[in-house]
Amino acid sequence: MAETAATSRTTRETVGRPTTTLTAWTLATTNTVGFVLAVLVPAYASGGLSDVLPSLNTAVGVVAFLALWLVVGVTTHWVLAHIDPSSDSAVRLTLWAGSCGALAGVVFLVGIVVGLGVPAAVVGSFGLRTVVLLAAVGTPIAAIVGAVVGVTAGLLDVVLLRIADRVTPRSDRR
Amino acid sequence: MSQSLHLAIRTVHVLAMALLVGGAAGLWAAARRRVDDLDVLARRYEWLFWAALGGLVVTGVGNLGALGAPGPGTRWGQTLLAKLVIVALFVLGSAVRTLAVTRTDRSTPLAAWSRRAYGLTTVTLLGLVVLAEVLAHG
Repeated sequence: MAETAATSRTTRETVGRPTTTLTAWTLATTNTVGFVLAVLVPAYASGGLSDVLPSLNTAVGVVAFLALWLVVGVTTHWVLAHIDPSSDSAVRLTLWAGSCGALAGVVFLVGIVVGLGVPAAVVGSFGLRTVVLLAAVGTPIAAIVGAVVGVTAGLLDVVLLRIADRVTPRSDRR
Repeated sequence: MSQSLHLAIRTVHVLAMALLVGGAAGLWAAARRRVDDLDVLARRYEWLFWAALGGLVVTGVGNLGALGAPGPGTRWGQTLLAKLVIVALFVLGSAVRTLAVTRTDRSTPLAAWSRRAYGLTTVTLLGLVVLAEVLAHG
Protein backbone atom coordinates (compact mmCIF):
# COMPACT_ATOMS: atom_id res chain seq x y z
CA MET A 1 0.00 0.00 0.00
CA ALA A 2 2.74 2.40 1.07
CA GLU A 3 4.81 1.27 -1.91
CA THR A 4 1.89 1.95 -4.25
CA ALA A 5 1.45 5.44 -2.79
CA ALA A 6 5.18 6.12 -3.11
CA THR A 7 5.18 4.90 -6.71
CA SER A 8 2.16 7.04 -7.48
CA ARG A 9 3.82 10.09 -5.92
CA THR A 10 7.06 9.47 -7.83
CA THR A 11 5.17 9.08 -11.10
CA ARG A 12 3.20 12.27 -10.47
CA GLU A 13 6.35 14.22 -9.64
CA THR A 14 8.19 12.87 -12.67
CA VAL A 15 5.32 13.71 -14.97
CA GLY A 16 4.68 17.07 -13.33
CA ARG A 17 8.22 18.37 -13.17
CA PRO A 18 8.72 19.42 -16.81
CA THR A 19 5.29 21.07 -16.89
CA THR A 20 6.00 23.00 -13.72
CA THR A 21 9.36 24.11 -15.05
CA LEU A 22 7.81 25.17 -18.35
CA THR A 23 5.23 27.13 -16.36
CA ALA A 24 7.98 28.87 -14.39
CA TRP A 25 9.99 29.52 -17.56
CA THR A 26 6.91 31.00 -19.27
CA LEU A 27 5.89 33.22 -16.36
CA ALA A 28 9.47 34.34 -15.67
CA THR A 29 10.02 35.40 -19.28
CA THR A 30 6.58 37.02 -19.47
CA ASN A 31 7.35 39.01 -16.32
CA THR A 32 10.81 40.02 -17.51
CA VAL A 33 9.68 41.04 -20.99
CA GLY A 34 6.57 42.69 -19.55
CA PHE A 35 8.70 44.72 -17.15
CA VAL A 36 11.00 45.89 -19.94
CA LEU A 37 8.02 46.85 -22.15
CA ALA A 38 6.25 48.55 -19.22
CA VAL A 39 9.33 50.77 -18.81
CA LEU A 40 10.13 51.15 -22.51
CA VAL A 41 6.72 52.07 -23.96
CA PRO A 42 5.85 55.00 -21.62
CA ALA A 43 9.47 56.20 -21.69
CA TYR A 44 9.49 56.27 -25.50
CA ALA A 45 5.95 57.70 -25.78
CA SER A 46 6.90 60.58 -23.48
CA GLY A 47 9.85 61.42 -25.73
CA GLY A 48 12.42 60.84 -23.02
CA LEU A 49 14.04 57.80 -24.57
CA SER A 50 15.09 59.06 -28.00
CA ASP A 51 18.02 61.06 -26.64
CA VAL A 52 19.05 58.51 -24.02
CA LEU A 53 19.04 55.24 -26.03
CA PRO A 54 21.93 56.02 -28.42
CA SER A 55 24.15 56.96 -25.48
CA LEU A 56 23.60 53.65 -23.68
CA ASN A 57 26.13 50.84 -24.04
CA THR A 58 24.55 47.97 -25.97
CA ALA A 59 26.67 45.25 -24.35
CA VAL A 60 25.86 46.56 -20.87
CA GLY A 61 22.16 46.62 -21.76
CA VAL A 62 22.25 43.00 -22.96
CA VAL A 63 24.10 41.87 -19.82
CA ALA A 64 21.65 43.78 -17.57
CA PHE A 65 18.67 42.16 -19.35
CA LEU A 66 20.18 38.68 -19.02
CA ALA A 67 20.88 39.31 -15.32
CA LEU A 68 17.29 40.46 -14.78
CA TRP A 69 15.97 37.43 -16.68
CA LEU A 70 18.09 35.09 -14.54
CA VAL A 71 17.04 36.68 -11.24
CA VAL A 72 13.34 36.72 -12.20
CA GLY A 73 13.63 33.13 -13.45
CA VAL A 74 15.11 31.86 -10.19
CA THR A 75 12.64 33.75 -7.98
CA THR A 76 9.64 32.70 -10.10
CA HIS A 77 10.71 29.06 -9.92
CA TRP A 78 11.17 29.43 -6.17
CA VAL A 79 7.75 31.04 -5.69
CA LEU A 80 5.97 28.35 -7.72
CA ALA A 81 7.73 25.66 -5.66
CA HIS A 82 6.24 27.09 -2.47
CA ILE A 83 2.77 28.33 -3.42
CA ASP A 84 -0.18 27.13 -5.45
CA PRO A 85 -1.66 30.10 -7.35
CA SER A 86 -4.94 28.25 -7.89
CA SER A 87 -5.68 27.49 -4.24
CA ASP A 88 -3.58 29.64 -1.88
CA SER A 89 -5.10 32.73 -0.29
CA ALA A 90 -4.62 36.19 -1.81
CA VAL A 91 -2.68 37.32 1.28
CA ARG A 92 -0.24 34.42 1.00
CA LEU A 93 0.21 35.00 -2.74
CA THR A 94 0.77 38.73 -2.18
CA LEU A 95 3.31 38.15 0.60
CA TRP A 96 5.28 35.63 -1.45
CA ALA A 97 5.16 37.74 -4.62
CA GLY A 98 6.14 40.92 -2.75
CA SER A 99 8.94 39.25 -0.77
CA CYS A 100 10.43 37.52 -3.80
CA GLY A 101 10.06 40.71 -5.85
CA ALA A 102 11.95 42.65 -3.18
CA LEU A 103 14.64 39.97 -3.06
CA ALA A 104 14.92 39.99 -6.85
CA GLY A 105 15.26 43.79 -6.85
CA VAL A 106 18.05 43.73 -4.27
CA VAL A 107 19.91 40.83 -5.93
CA PHE A 108 19.65 42.55 -9.32
CA LEU A 109 21.00 45.81 -7.87
CA VAL A 110 23.86 44.05 -6.08
CA GLY A 111 24.66 42.18 -9.30
CA ILE A 112 24.77 45.44 -11.25
CA VAL A 113 26.91 47.13 -8.59
CA VAL A 114 29.37 44.23 -8.37
CA GLY A 115 29.43 43.54 -12.11
CA LEU A 116 29.48 47.09 -13.42
CA GLY A 117 29.96 49.58 -10.57
CA VAL A 118 33.06 48.08 -8.96
CA PRO A 119 35.01 47.64 -12.23
CA ALA A 120 34.00 51.18 -13.25
CA ALA A 121 35.23 52.48 -9.89
CA VAL A 122 38.54 50.66 -10.23
CA VAL A 123 39.33 52.02 -13.69
CA GLY A 124 37.22 55.20 -13.59
CA SER A 125 37.37 58.56 -11.90
CA PHE A 126 34.87 57.99 -9.09
CA GLY A 127 35.94 55.99 -6.07
CA LEU A 128 34.82 52.75 -4.54
CA ARG A 129 33.23 54.70 -1.69
CA THR A 130 30.79 56.29 -4.14
CA VAL A 131 29.78 52.84 -5.41
CA VAL A 132 29.23 51.59 -1.85
CA LEU A 133 27.18 54.69 -1.04
CA LEU A 134 25.06 54.22 -4.17
CA ALA A 135 24.50 50.57 -3.24
CA ALA A 136 23.53 51.49 0.32
CA VAL A 137 21.02 54.12 -0.85
CA GLY A 138 19.82 51.97 -3.76
CA THR A 139 19.18 48.76 -1.81
CA PRO A 140 16.02 49.87 0.06
CA ILE A 141 14.74 51.58 -3.10
CA ALA A 142 15.39 48.39 -5.10
CA ALA A 143 13.58 46.37 -2.44
CA ILE A 144 10.51 48.64 -2.53
CA VAL A 145 10.38 48.82 -6.33
CA GLY A 146 10.98 45.05 -6.50
CA ALA A 147 8.14 44.38 -4.05
CA VAL A 148 5.69 46.54 -6.04
CA VAL A 149 6.76 44.94 -9.33
CA GLY A 150 6.61 41.49 -7.72
CA VAL A 151 3.04 41.96 -6.49
CA THR A 152 1.97 43.36 -9.87
CA ALA A 153 3.66 40.49 -11.72
CA GLY A 154 2.14 37.97 -9.31
CA LEU A 155 -1.32 39.37 -9.95
CA LEU A 156 -0.73 39.22 -13.70
CA ASP A 157 0.49 35.61 -13.39
CA VAL A 158 -2.62 34.56 -11.49
CA VAL A 159 -4.83 36.18 -14.15
CA LEU A 160 -2.88 34.46 -16.95
CA LEU A 161 -3.12 31.08 -15.20
CA ARG A 162 -6.88 31.47 -14.75
CA ILE A 163 -7.41 32.49 -18.39
CA ALA A 164 -5.25 29.54 -19.47
CA ASP A 165 -7.39 27.26 -17.34
CA ARG A 166 -10.47 28.50 -19.19
CA VAL A 167 -9.11 28.25 -22.73
CA THR A 168 -7.71 24.76 -22.23
CA PRO A 169 -10.28 22.33 -23.68
CA ARG A 170 -12.37 20.96 -20.81
CA SER A 171 -11.58 17.32 -21.61
CA ASP A 172 -7.87 18.19 -21.72
CA ARG A 173 -7.67 19.66 -18.20
CA ARG A 174 -5.62 17.89 -15.56
CA MET B 1 33.89 45.94 -32.02
CA SER B 2 30.79 48.12 -31.98
CA GLN B 3 29.92 47.33 -35.60
CA SER B 4 30.40 43.61 -35.01
CA LEU B 5 28.26 43.73 -31.88
CA HIS B 6 25.43 45.51 -33.68
CA LEU B 7 25.64 43.07 -36.58
CA ALA B 8 25.49 40.17 -34.12
CA ILE B 9 22.48 41.72 -32.38
CA ARG B 10 20.62 42.21 -35.65
CA THR B 11 21.47 38.64 -36.68
CA VAL B 12 20.16 37.21 -33.40
CA HIS B 13 17.03 39.37 -33.78
CA VAL B 14 16.29 38.03 -37.27
CA LEU B 15 17.13 34.41 -36.36
CA ALA B 16 14.93 34.54 -33.26
CA MET B 17 12.00 35.82 -35.29
CA ALA B 18 12.63 33.14 -37.94
CA LEU B 19 12.53 30.51 -35.19
CA LEU B 20 9.25 31.86 -33.80
CA VAL B 21 7.51 32.15 -37.18
CA GLY B 22 8.88 28.88 -38.55
CA GLY B 23 8.03 26.96 -35.41
CA ALA B 24 4.50 28.33 -35.14
CA ALA B 25 3.80 27.77 -38.85
CA GLY B 26 5.25 24.26 -38.60
CA LEU B 27 3.02 23.41 -35.64
CA TRP B 28 0.03 24.90 -37.44
CA ALA B 29 0.76 22.65 -40.43
CA ALA B 30 1.38 19.66 -38.15
CA ALA B 31 -1.96 20.25 -36.41
CA ARG B 32 -3.77 20.45 -39.76
CA ARG B 33 -2.23 17.11 -40.78
CA ARG B 34 -2.99 15.65 -37.33
CA VAL B 35 0.54 14.28 -36.94
CA ASP B 36 1.41 12.06 -33.98
CA ASP B 37 3.25 13.48 -30.96
CA LEU B 38 1.83 16.96 -31.53
CA ASP B 39 1.96 17.60 -27.79
CA VAL B 40 5.68 16.76 -27.68
CA LEU B 41 6.35 19.12 -30.59
CA ALA B 42 4.25 21.83 -28.95
CA ARG B 43 6.06 21.55 -25.62
CA ARG B 44 9.48 21.69 -27.32
CA TYR B 45 8.40 24.72 -29.33
CA GLU B 46 7.11 26.48 -26.21
CA TRP B 47 10.50 26.07 -24.50
CA LEU B 48 12.28 27.54 -27.52
CA PHE B 49 9.57 30.16 -28.00
CA TRP B 50 10.25 31.89 -24.67
CA ALA B 51 14.01 31.75 -25.10
CA ALA B 52 13.69 33.29 -28.57
CA LEU B 53 11.17 35.88 -27.36
CA GLY B 54 13.52 37.05 -24.61
CA GLY B 55 16.29 37.26 -27.20
CA LEU B 56 14.03 39.19 -29.57
CA VAL B 57 13.14 41.80 -26.97
CA VAL B 58 16.68 42.42 -25.76
CA THR B 59 18.07 42.61 -29.31
CA GLY B 60 15.12 44.79 -30.32
CA VAL B 61 16.01 47.33 -27.64
CA GLY B 62 19.65 47.03 -28.72
CA ASN B 63 18.61 47.78 -32.31
CA LEU B 64 16.74 50.88 -31.17
CA GLY B 65 19.86 52.16 -29.46
CA ALA B 66 22.13 51.30 -32.37
CA LEU B 67 19.92 52.78 -35.08
CA GLY B 68 18.88 55.86 -33.13
CA ALA B 69 15.10 55.97 -32.86
CA PRO B 70 13.30 59.09 -34.16
CA GLY B 71 10.88 60.73 -31.72
CA PRO B 72 7.41 59.36 -30.86
CA GLY B 73 5.68 62.19 -32.75
CA THR B 74 7.00 61.01 -36.11
CA ARG B 75 5.26 58.43 -38.34
CA TRP B 76 8.13 56.05 -37.59
CA GLY B 77 7.66 56.61 -33.87
CA GLN B 78 3.91 55.96 -34.09
CA THR B 79 4.59 52.73 -35.98
CA LEU B 80 7.12 51.68 -33.34
CA LEU B 81 4.64 52.40 -30.53
CA ALA B 82 1.97 50.37 -32.33
CA LYS B 83 4.44 47.52 -32.74
CA LEU B 84 5.44 47.60 -29.06
CA VAL B 85 1.80 47.54 -27.93
CA ILE B 86 1.09 44.58 -30.24
CA VAL B 87 4.21 42.84 -28.88
CA ALA B 88 2.96 43.36 -25.32
CA LEU B 89 -0.45 41.89 -26.17
CA PHE B 90 1.22 39.06 -28.09
CA VAL B 91 3.39 38.20 -25.07
CA LEU B 92 0.31 37.98 -22.82
CA GLY B 93 -1.59 35.89 -25.37
CA SER B 94 1.40 33.59 -25.84
CA ALA B 95 1.70 33.11 -22.08
CA VAL B 96 -1.91 31.93 -22.02
CA ARG B 97 -1.21 29.58 -24.96
CA THR B 98 1.86 28.03 -23.31
CA LEU B 99 0.18 27.70 -19.92
CA ALA B 100 -2.74 25.98 -21.64
CA VAL B 101 -0.30 23.55 -23.29
CA THR B 102 1.22 22.74 -19.89
CA ARG B 103 -2.29 21.89 -18.61
CA THR B 104 -3.10 19.36 -21.30
CA ASP B 105 -2.60 15.66 -20.79
CA ARG B 106 -0.07 13.97 -23.05
CA SER B 107 -2.72 11.55 -24.29
CA THR B 108 -5.14 14.31 -25.28
CA PRO B 109 -5.56 15.02 -28.99
CA LEU B 110 -4.55 18.65 -29.47
CA ALA B 111 -5.07 19.05 -33.21
CA ALA B 112 -8.13 21.32 -33.25
CA TRP B 113 -6.92 23.52 -30.41
CA SER B 114 -3.37 23.73 -31.79
CA ARG B 115 -4.65 24.66 -35.24
CA ARG B 116 -6.36 27.74 -33.80
CA ALA B 117 -3.63 28.63 -31.28
CA TYR B 118 -0.63 28.29 -33.58
CA GLY B 119 -2.53 29.71 -36.55
CA LEU B 120 -3.23 32.87 -34.56
CA THR B 121 0.38 32.92 -33.35
CA THR B 122 1.67 32.66 -36.93
CA VAL B 123 -0.61 35.39 -38.25
CA THR B 124 0.30 37.76 -35.40
CA LEU B 125 4.01 37.11 -35.88
CA LEU B 126 3.70 37.78 -39.62
CA GLY B 127 1.96 41.07 -38.80
CA LEU B 128 4.88 41.99 -36.53
CA VAL B 129 7.32 41.08 -39.32
CA VAL B 130 5.48 43.49 -41.65
CA LEU B 131 5.68 46.25 -39.03
CA ALA B 132 9.40 45.52 -38.60
CA GLU B 133 9.86 45.81 -42.38
CA VAL B 134 8.09 49.18 -42.34
CA LEU B 135 10.36 50.36 -39.52
CA ALA B 136 13.51 49.12 -41.23
CA HIS B 137 12.81 50.24 -44.77
CA GLY B 138 10.01 52.82 -44.55
